[in-house]
Amino acid sequence: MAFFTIFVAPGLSEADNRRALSFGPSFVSSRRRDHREMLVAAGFSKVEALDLTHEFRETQQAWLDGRERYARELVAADGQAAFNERQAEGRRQLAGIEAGLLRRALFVCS
Amino acid sequence: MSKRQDAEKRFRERYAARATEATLIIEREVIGANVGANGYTTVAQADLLAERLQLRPDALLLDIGCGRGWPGLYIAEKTGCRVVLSDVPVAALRAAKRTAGSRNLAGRAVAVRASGTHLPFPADSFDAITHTDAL
Repeated sequence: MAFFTIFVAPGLSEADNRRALSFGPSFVSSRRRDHREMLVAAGFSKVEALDLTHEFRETQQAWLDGRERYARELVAADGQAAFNERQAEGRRQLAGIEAGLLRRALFVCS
Repeated sequence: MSKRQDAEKRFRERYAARATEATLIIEREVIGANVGANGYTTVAQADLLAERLQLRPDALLLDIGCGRGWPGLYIAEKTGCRVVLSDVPVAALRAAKRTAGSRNLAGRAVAVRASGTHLPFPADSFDAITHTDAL
């Protein structure tokens, strides 16, 4: 199995953990357990992780910049409310990444 | 509305939205190609995923939360493997099937409506599993 996942940075205080969940994409949840630990507990071995948080930040910033540049066209197609919601969600995630609360990694395990 | 229901509603709406010239340009700039992506997996990262999965041409891959088929269909095209695409939004699965047809992958790609938390497959059905920010 190989997969990318966005997750709450390990070792956060309760308050930061809650902040991370509020910043993260809607599907991000936290059992406050390290991914590697969870994979091993599920029977996987040879777990490798490659941190891609820097790339995650760049991609999120690129989505935000791109949508801002084409704001007029996107608003015309989807409406102002949808555009604002999408941009606000992106900015929240970016803030979470920059605050060290959200990470993204490639996990490979067998 | 629960967080999960809210997420499903949002994804349904996004996948139902029509691609425009602007969305295609932005996607090319961010992801590196027009592949129906709206997440964070770039073409370079999909290449890395394909490399790390080490799939043989006859292997069967499960892509959980496949959206419009990115990157499962790309990996199938690149490696020659077969792929089962699973996700909840029907609009996304329809788009994935259209893409599979347009890339001559229809015979090697199947779309199944299923949540990643309740997969309808027996154990050991697949040679490899992937998902990209779905779980």
